[in-house]
Order: sequence, then C-alpha cells, then structure tokens
Amino acid sequence: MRPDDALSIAREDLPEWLALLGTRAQMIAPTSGPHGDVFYSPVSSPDEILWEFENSLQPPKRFLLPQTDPLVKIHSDGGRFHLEPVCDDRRQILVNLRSCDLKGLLYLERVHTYDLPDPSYLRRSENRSLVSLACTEPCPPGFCICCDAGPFLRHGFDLQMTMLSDRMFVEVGSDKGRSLLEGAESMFRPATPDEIAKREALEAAARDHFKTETCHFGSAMRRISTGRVAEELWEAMGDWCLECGGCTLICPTCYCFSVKDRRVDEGWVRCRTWDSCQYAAFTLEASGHNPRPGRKDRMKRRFFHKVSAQYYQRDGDVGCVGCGRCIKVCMGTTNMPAVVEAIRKGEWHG
Amino acid sequence: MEAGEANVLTVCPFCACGCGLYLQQVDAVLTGVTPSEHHPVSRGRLCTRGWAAHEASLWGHRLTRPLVRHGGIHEPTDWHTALRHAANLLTDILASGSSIGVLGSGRATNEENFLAVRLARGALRTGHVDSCTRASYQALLAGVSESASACNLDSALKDTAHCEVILLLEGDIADTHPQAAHAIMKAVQRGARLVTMGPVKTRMSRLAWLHLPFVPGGESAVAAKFASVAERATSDNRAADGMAANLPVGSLPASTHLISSAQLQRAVEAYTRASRAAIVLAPTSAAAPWLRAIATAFARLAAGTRQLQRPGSVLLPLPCRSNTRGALEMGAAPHCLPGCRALTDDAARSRLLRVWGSELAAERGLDIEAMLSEVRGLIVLADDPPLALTSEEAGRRALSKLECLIVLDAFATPTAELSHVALPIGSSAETDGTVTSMEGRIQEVRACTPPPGEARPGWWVLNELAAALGMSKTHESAQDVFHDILVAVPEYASAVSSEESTPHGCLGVLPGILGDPQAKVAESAGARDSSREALAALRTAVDGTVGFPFLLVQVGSFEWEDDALVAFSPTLSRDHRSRSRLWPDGYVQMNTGDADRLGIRDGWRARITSDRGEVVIPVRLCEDVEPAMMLVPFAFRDQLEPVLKCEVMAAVNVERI
Ligand code: SF4
Ligand code: SF4
Repeated sequence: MRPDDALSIAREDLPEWLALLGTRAQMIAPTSGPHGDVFYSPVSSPDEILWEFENSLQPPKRFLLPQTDPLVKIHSDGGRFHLEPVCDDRRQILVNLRSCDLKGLLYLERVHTYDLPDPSYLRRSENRSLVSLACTEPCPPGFCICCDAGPFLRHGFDLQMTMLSDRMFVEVGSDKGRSLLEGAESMFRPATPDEIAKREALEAAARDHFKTETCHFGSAMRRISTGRVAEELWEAMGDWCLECGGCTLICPTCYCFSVKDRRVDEGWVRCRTWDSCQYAAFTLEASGHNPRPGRKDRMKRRFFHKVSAQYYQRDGDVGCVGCGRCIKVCMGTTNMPAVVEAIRKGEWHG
Repeated sequence: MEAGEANVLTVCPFCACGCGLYLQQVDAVLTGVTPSEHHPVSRGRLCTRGWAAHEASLWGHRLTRPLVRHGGIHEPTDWHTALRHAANLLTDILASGSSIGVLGSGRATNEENFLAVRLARGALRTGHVDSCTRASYQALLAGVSESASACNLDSALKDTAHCEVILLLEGDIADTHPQAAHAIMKAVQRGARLVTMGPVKTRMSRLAWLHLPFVPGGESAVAAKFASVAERATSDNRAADGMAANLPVGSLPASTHLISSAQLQRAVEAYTRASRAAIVLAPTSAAAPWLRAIATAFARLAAGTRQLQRPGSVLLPLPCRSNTRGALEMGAAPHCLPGCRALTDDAARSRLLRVWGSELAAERGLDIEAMLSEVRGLIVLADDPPLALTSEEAGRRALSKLECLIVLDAFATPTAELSHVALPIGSSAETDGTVTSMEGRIQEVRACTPPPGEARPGWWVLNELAAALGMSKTHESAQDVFHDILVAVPEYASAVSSEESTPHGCLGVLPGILGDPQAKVAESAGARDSSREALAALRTAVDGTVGFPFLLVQVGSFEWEDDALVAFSPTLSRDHRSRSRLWPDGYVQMNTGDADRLGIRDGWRARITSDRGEVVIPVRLCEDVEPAMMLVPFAFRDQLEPVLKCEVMAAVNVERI
C-alpha cells in the first residue's frame, strides 16, 4: 500500500461524498428488498445503501452481463438487413461490492478480453467503477480465502473501503478509483499509521475466521487436471444434481450464453441471454447427438472449467471466488465445496 | 429503487410447489429472474423452469389485440366490438337451446378462475365448468380425503425433508415437482430411506433405498399389499381395522409380480416404524379412477399405521400446475361450488349469491372430456385443452367443430388459433392476483410489466364478458375479486385473517384439504368400482399373454413440453423441439435386454400389435424400463391410439421390421 493510496474519510462525511458521486454516475449499491432479500440495485440517495448486510443472492454480475442483454438491433428495408449495435454507455459506480464479487468481475473482464475481445462487455466495464467494502466479518457460507478472493483484496478494485470505528479507510487501486475522489478532496486525508495498523488488524482477524478450511482446491485441481477422478464418483455426484442450472447462473464467474432474436416493432433485437452448461440442451447438436448427455458429463465439465490446471492457466485463476452462493441455490447437494471435498477424498455420500 | 428498473416478488408460474421469485424489469421490459433467498418454500432455490419464468412472456408469440374470426381469418378489432361479438355468439347458442362450457385453468390466478366460474354458473347458468389438470389431482385428493381428511399440508415440503422414510409414487418428480424432489433429496442426505414406486427407474430412484416397479393400474394393488403387510407389521389393533378392506387384493399378475414380498415387507416395516414418514403422490397416470384408488389405499396405510397422527409426518398429493389446486378450490369443476362445496350446500349458494349478485346454476355439469363432445360453445381461459385430453388430436377436432370458441390467453396457442374470438390477457408476469400452492399457501402473484399492446388483465376481461352477458356487478381490481373469494370461501378467509403481515407475498396457509364430506361419500362408491374394473382390465391384459407378451403402458397425465409457458421459452423448449424434430412420429420405450432378444436397435421401428389394432413406431431403448414393459410418453398417446384405443394400457406383441 503506497502512502498516497491509503486515505480515510469520516463516516459522517460518506453520504455527502456518495451523493456527489451520484451526480456523476448512476450509483449501484446493496439495498434492502422486500422481506429481507438483498439486491444490488440503482439508488437515488446514499440513505438507501446498506453497510451491513448478508451478501445478495444475485451477484452484481448482471450490471456487466445482464440476464437478457440486447446486443444488436436488426431491421430490414426490403432486401437488406441493417445492423446497429446497442451500446450501454451509462456510467455506473458499483458501491459496497463484496471482495469475492469484485474478484468475479475481474475474472469476467479477463475472459471477455483475451482471445476474442467482447466489445459490448468491455464498453460496459469501461464505464463501471468498482468500489468494494472489505469483509471484516466474513459471511457464513463463504470460503473466499481458498480462492484468494477475500475477505480483503490486495488489488483489482478501483477503491476498497474498510470500516473502522468512526472512519472509513479507503484504498485507491486505480486511476479510475482516484477520479472518484475528485471534488471531495477536502473530505479525505491520508490514513494515519494507526488507521493503517487497524486495517491490517481487521484483515488479520477476518482471515482468522476461516480457521478450519472447507475447500481444498489444490489437491482437487491435481486430480481433476490429470483425470484422476473416477467415473463412478462423477456418476454418484451427478445423481445428486437436479439440473436447475442455479449454480452457474448465480456464479460470479460463469458466463455461458445463448443468442436469441426478439421481435420488436418492425425489426428484431439480438440478445445474449444467460445459459448454463448444466442444461442437457446446452450442448445438444442439431443431429440429436449430445457430447455431454449425462448429468455426470455436465458436472465433470463444470468442475473441469472451474478447477483444472488447464483452465487455471488460461483464465488466470480458479473459476470460483468462494462466495458460497452455489451452496444456497443448489436444488441438489452438489455445490462447489461439497464436490471439491468429494474429489479430494475420492468419495461422495450425498 | 430508481424508476426504470424493478424486482417484483411473485410466484413461479409453473408447478405447484409455489416457489417465490423476483421478476426483473428494466424500462418496462422483462429481463430476468432472481430467486428469493428468504422465501419459505424455495429459500433461494429455483428449478430450470423457475429460472426461465420471464421467458415465455418476453419471447413468446403473444396475443396483443382482440381478434375476431371473419371468413376463417382472424381480424384485429377493438375491445368493445370483440366483447359484443363474443356475447352475441354466446347468446345465440343459448337461445337455440344448446349448451356452453367454460374452462378455468391451473395457469390462471384464483381471481381469474373465480370469475370464470361466475361466468359459467352465474352468467351462463351452466354447470359445465372444469379445468384441464383438475381430474388427476382431484382423484388423488378424493382418495386421500376419504381416509385422512385431517391431513395437514401447510409445511409438507419442509416436513418431508425431515422424514425418516418416504414412499414416493412418481413419474419423474425431479422434472414435475423439483422443489419436492429437493425436499426428498435433503431427507435422503440426512439418512432417510426413500422408496420410489413407478413403472420406470427415475432420477429419484437412483437415490432410493428401494425401487418398487409397478404400472398405472397396479398402484392400488401394491398399496393393498402394503396395507395387508402393514396390518401384520403393526401390533396396533386399530391399524388392522379394515385397512385392506375394500381394496382389490386378489391375484394381480402385472405389477405385483414385479415386486418381491420381501421388498414390500421391508418398505412397509420401515414406513410403520419411522417416527415420521411421508407419502408423496404424483398424478402418474391419466386414469383418474386408478389414481383415486391408489390415493385411498395409501391414505389408509397412513391412517392405519397412525403415521398421520405423528407430528411431521406427511401425506401429500401433488397438483400438476401452479394453480391446479386453486382452480379447483375456486370451483372450476363440474361437481362442486367454490370452496369444494357440494352443489346442494345452501349456505355456499347464498354466499355466492351475495358476491356474484346473481342466482346460480347449481347443477352438476360435464367434465372437460364430455364437454368437448356435447357443447356448442366453449370459453377457454389460459389453456390449450387438447394437451391434457385423452386424445390431443380428437380434442383439436372437437374444438374446430365448435360454433363458438372464445379464448382468453396471453399466448397464441393452437387453441387460440382455432378461436372465433381471441381476447388477449396479461401473462403471469403481467397480472395481479393469487395462486394456491400444493401446500395450500395462498400467495400473491404480482404484475412486473404491463400487458403488451391492447392486452388487459384477465380479471378485467372476465368482468367485461360477464357484464356483456348481463351480470351487473363488476370489480375494480384483482384485489376486489379476492375480497369476494374471501366471502365465498370461508377457509380462505380464515387462512388469510390468521396472518397479520404477508411475508413473501404469502397471504395465508390453508390448514388442510378443502372438501365436502357429502360430495366425497357420493363419489367414493363409484370410484371403488371403477378401480375394480381397472384392475380387471389389467388382469385381462396380462393373462392374455399368449401372443401378447408385453404390457404397453401410457405414463403421465400432463407434459410440460407443449405448454405455452415452456414452448414459448427459448431455454426450456430446446430439448422438446429437438425431440419432436428427431422423433416426429413419437416413440415407445423398451427395456434394452428385451430389445436385444428381439434384435431391435435403438431408434428402429417396430410393429406393435394389440387385440385392438397395430402401429409401426420407433422404439427407444432404456435400461430403466422394466422387462416385459413398454412405455408410451403421454405426449405420444395419439400415435399409439390404434393399439391403446384411449385406454392407458394394452397387452401387446412387438416385432422387428
Ligand atoms: S445448482 Fe446444484 S442442482 Fe442445480 S445444476 Fe448446479 S449442481 Fe445441479
Ligand atoms: S419447483 Fe416448481 S414452482 Fe419451483 S421453480 Fe421449479 S417449476 Fe417453479
């Protein structure tokens, strides 16, 4: 942490700063939805923002990769088709992202950048600023520590905030982040050595929460990458999946999609929509052949992408940020920690 | 929340589990779904369908303007003209002395169903009112309530997840009722013993402690065997008290010979000894009398072993669709009034008089199958009835012969295409109202986006149609209709008033199954007889094994694939579209070993002959089908018609060609 990258702001000044940011861009923040469900959604006032909350079930991924994402408008004038890209140029500041979710967005940024850059995704991401709130009290289902995705981040954020008792500790991680302080310089001051020490202590305490590890990617990765997971084990685990697709739809790093055209007025809009590799029809070919016909085949595919060394090298990380959402949404019982443990131990008991 | 984007809590429109979800819209266009983490039923979990709950409304072929058929062609028109035209057609039919029927729907809200029933019994003065998925559910209910009227369903799924033994009668519950499958999975994970019962090994059978193979029509025999073994297994005298009485136990070759007595003994002993146990009954067959017999038998088993009195034990009949239960309870049935009241119930009639503002027809009407051959006019609410009929093709033919077919739907279904007047209504994503889940949760459905084009909420259209037919009272909102429901159905009123707030849109939970004892007694004798008949037919089929060594069985009573909500969802329709492209002539399933012996390979065509006729059809091989059995998916029942002749099974011979 460079000294000029560590700042702090009085907690009572936060609303004023955030209100100022709200005049420059749309503010997306965790809000309290009906009946205790938490949503990341647009806020019009800093009062709506939650500071202590159970992370939302739906990750903020949808602000970069919506479930239904219009890409191209298509219309025809008689014989010719005209294509017009749909551009989402809205400036958005995502505030109070959890570390794992921010890490998920970095992963998505990478997969949409290399090989074949995805202009629609990248344009959005260019217009988003990511402000995380470090997890001083890790959430119960989370295992971010196994994925190097929390509870605190070392880089990748535009700003990372840590709640101290009466001040908010703010780390600047990028130029984009620094620009969020413009016009509010008077509210911020360099962090004191004491504040820096407190922040470090909070991180150490948060890491301490994870005493007993739940997820051992390393040994699972060795087995998966070298094909040393017995077919019978995949089959046994496949029996406990109800193919809802929830694990992938809700996953901060999953990005499988379909493309569909929707009739609008006199033309069409070509949309990218979320899809799941856990659906049998995802890989169904026109001939009727399906390279992944069984649940075990699809489950193997999911974990190979998420945990194998091959993909680790390609994507730069495991495809899991330890948010624990797949534990909550799974219609069956085959969530990430359970499967990783089964692979490590070579046995599955439901 | 800023304008331009909203997450609206509502109920999943597909099956009867009643999962809670948020529909999401941006700039008044549906964009997606978020599960509700704290919803008491779904707790953040949705199945594939739930995750695609926005798709049909967004991508589907929608009805957006009232359409009136002129010279065989649908022409768009305004609401006033369409409603007047519809009312004229209906009045002409009545004036000619012919009859009209009305179909409610398990895809529509309680409010819409209640108004559809008002339209039938109030405005048109007819008892011909029904809904597509009622019969199979009601058969289960009637059987269950004969022996176990006090059965509590209010937290059935949660309780099931904590049961020690679960008897599951299913087709493929992982597909038909995934949230129930999840509850069972959780129980198995905790160590419960699962006994699956059905003609084919399913996804749940793979987790089962025991799989008892049997065919539709054989369930009651199996249940009777259960009951008699249970009599021996329990020392409780009350248990022995007539449990197996009135059940056809005789020599039952087809299904029971598949199950060894030892297996049965183990299942029953486990069920009897469990400190809490569940019986979950899915509508696995289109043969209602059989379903009723099974349900009766299992209810007797539950009551006789006193399992039902144990806290946390469950006896759960499963309705097919999100509001199959509500539609029945709103009175969309030919034999009862709203609230499942007997037609002769004076108190119920006077309550209806009060809220409908009109006298009502309290005669017993025709059910959906009979209606299609008898009536000249039909009003269909949010459904494509042939999909649920004994023969889809015959159903479509009957619809096309009607003098007047009026369809209220959000989607351009094949039935809407045949209509004389098509009235566009909001889909489940565009409608306010309530639905009643399998557990009796009365939950709010909320509009997330406005209906497209000229489409209007279903309650509004039903009101206007009733008004055009002379009903005076109208409603201002869906809530207004709900207030009438509370007056008409006291159980709904007490369930609702007992809840102070409405967490997760749940207005209240009905304590048990609604039902009138009178109606039950009146119907039960007949049902037992038909169960005997059904078993006799089974015996004949199988006794005549000379020349007919296979038992061909049609399974299921409803399939999602052609339903508008699935067919119009790009994600959900993929498998089905591919299946109908690859198998345009349908298929039957056969045990792999049997096929080997006959030299039949997967996908080859075979000649299937019964004493009624023959067909040539592709055969698909499947290890999970029992030997000597062949299965006909419900969707392909028409293709097997020459062999089945509208029955659900036949003894057949199979030849390779
Ligand atoms: S969430 Fe669970 S049940 Fe659903 S697809 Fe994923 S592993 Fe299977
Ligand atoms: S289990 Fe039923 S109610 Fe729940 S999401 Fe699936 S289809 Fe909808």
